[in-house]
Amino acid sequence: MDHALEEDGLLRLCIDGDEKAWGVFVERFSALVRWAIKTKVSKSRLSVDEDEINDIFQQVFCDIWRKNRLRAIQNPRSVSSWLVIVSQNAALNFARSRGKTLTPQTEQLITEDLHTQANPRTETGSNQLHKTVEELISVLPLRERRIMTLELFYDFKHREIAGVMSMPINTVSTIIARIKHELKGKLAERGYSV
Amino acid sequence: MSDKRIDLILKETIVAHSVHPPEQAAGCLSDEDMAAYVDCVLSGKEIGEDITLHITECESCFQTAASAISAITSFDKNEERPARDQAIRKAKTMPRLYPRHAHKVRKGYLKKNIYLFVATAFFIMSFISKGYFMQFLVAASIFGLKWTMDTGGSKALITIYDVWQHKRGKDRDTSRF
Repeated sequence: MDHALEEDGLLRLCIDGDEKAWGVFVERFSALVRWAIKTKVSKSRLSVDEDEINDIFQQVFCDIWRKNRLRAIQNPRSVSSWLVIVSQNAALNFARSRGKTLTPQTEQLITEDLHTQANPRTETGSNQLHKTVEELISVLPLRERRIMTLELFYDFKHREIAGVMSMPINTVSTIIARIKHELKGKLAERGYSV
Repeated sequence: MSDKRIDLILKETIVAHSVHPPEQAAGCLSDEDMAAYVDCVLSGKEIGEDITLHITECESCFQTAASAISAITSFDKNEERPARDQAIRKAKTMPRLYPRHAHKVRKGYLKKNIYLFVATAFFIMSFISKGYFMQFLVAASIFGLKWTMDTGGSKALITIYDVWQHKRGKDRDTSRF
């Protein structure tokens, strides 16, 4: 409660243009903003270096101050979440504006790396395997694809997936287990095995 | 086929699709609404069906929410070094680089006295458009009164009225004698 009140007071002072309060705000949330930018850059495989991360960091705070964006926050408790979202959007927009998306070469290297881990003994046949899996995933309902993305791409725990998808944890676990079991069966039918 | 291998194969396919999130569309959640949603998820609160449906169906919002939740939950556990001192110092100088006070005062002044400006405009119009003299004058009076009521000038009016009443009462008393 005290922490929320304190943040409410801090936000109000920043909105009113208090320089000292702004300094406290930057100190308090700088690590979180930087972390949000770095995770976004890393997950999206963006070719952004350390200096550019600092540029994005500056841009985030500059934007918040100049447009007085803190006014739009309805609940002081959500300021951390809001900052993470704003920072990650800024990172993505920065990369897009500079044409810094994943290069086809880098993309190939990443998928090849995962490919090698998944298929240690195969060579040309692994392309067919990849296509087969893609086909099988594409026919899954959207909800189930989202669950698999949360589990495999974002490394969410089942409890977290249940929160995002608004469903019971057991349902999530059942769906994941069923999809993997079905995929295993279908791949075995098509002649893929260890 | 082992479970680990199945996981890797699935991950490979999903990574290829999830790495490039699309841009936000018109119906997407604002940053503030998204923050409220993320807070609800992290605190285990119940979320409306409409929001959940949108998050599931909209690729951009789904990726934004998942990415934010992932960053927040991993933040406490990370051993990431903080932002460079120089970067923090520069961010702190924003109020000096972009002073907000004058702009705020200007905007506040305009908003506060909007009815005065409208009343003045109607008053001027009453002299220009002779055919509608009374109408513009009445409009000017209404907006002028509205301005005095809104800006705390009503206090001044009440004070003036009190003084006038008091003076009237005094005059009446003295005239008795």
